Amino acid sequence: MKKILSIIMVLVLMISISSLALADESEENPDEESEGENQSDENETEDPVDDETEEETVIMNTSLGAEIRLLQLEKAITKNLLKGEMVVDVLKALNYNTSDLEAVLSEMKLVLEEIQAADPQANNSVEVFIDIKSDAKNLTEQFRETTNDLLGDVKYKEIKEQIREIVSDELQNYSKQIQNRIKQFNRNQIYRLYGIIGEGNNSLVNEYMNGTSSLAQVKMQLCKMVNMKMKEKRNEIFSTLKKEKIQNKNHANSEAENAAASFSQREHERLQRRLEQANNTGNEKLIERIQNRIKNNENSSNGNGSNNGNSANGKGNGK
Amino acid sequence: MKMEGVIDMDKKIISIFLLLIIVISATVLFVTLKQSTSQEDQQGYSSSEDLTNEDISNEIDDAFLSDDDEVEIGEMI
Repeated sequence: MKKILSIIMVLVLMISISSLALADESEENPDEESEGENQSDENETEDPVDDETEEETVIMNTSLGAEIRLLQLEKAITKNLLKGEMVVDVLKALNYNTSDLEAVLSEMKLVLEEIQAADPQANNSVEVFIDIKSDAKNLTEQFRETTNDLLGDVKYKEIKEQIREIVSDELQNYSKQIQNRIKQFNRNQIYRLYGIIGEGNNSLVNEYMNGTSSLAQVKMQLCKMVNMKMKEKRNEIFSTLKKEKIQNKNHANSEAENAAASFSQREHERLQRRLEQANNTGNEKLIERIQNRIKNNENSSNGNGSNNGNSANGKGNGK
Repeated sequence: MKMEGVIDMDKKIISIFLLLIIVISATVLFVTLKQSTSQEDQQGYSSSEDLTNEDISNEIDDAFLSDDDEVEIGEMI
């Protein structure tokens, strides 16, 4: 009797363990594809191109798309420069030492000049966008952290309340230019969709361009056009749209990977160029700041990992 | 009498054992089915399923840039 019981117990135990193992397998889903995804996720934490930036580069496979992204970045940097100058003015009035903050703003001005000189039709426009966006994000973060260190939490929040949105002709001019380019981009997309759907409506394009129809209305009309098609045609349209989207994403992904691979080397070159410009201006604080960043960059390139300078000294690889 | 008692006990054990096997089989089946459906979800659209308006609308949405689209680099303060 005891023997039968112990045999049953062993059997039950074995079956339970095997079912547990199966359940674990299904959760982990360890096929090759997911392994690849996990590896790419791990890589993403190391490279300087985040998901948002990679998503933004998807439209940069056309010169119009590249122009839009570079203009948007130029506007974002200009906006932060204006805001930063405002912060410095306020802090100066309160007798704070703003030399570190001014050095960050001086470098940001150099970054702005770099993006203004960028050519959207050049083959390396994605690289330029990724590099400058990374630098602009780092400089913005350094400015924010330095301000916070300088003021302390309470005073920082007080100043933050004082400085809200900026109204500037320069920013409005950027917004107009960007909206105009986005309209052109969307017009091209409408024609592309007409090509896939197999019919078109020029009056809808004209209405969108002159502002009589909104983008939402255009999208609704396009949906209607697709839904009026036979089931097979609808499936075909959907598959084509999906396929093209995946192709564009894959292209953006490989461009981002290439850009990330040589990021450190390009960062070093950019800093050297900025140092030359800083030497021409004679701005001692800026020269010192960029020299420190070059040193940090060289240390991290040599694998010393001593990229632990203070907030005003840069952040090496941008992440 | 003693022999009958042993046979009754055996039957009880066997029925408990069968019940356990049924429960475990059901769990394994559920997990396997769940796995296959989640794999189908990951693969996305298959030609056998019907497209909804939302599917098409999402694809069309993705083709355009909104008028207020912006590149974010963070706030200065």
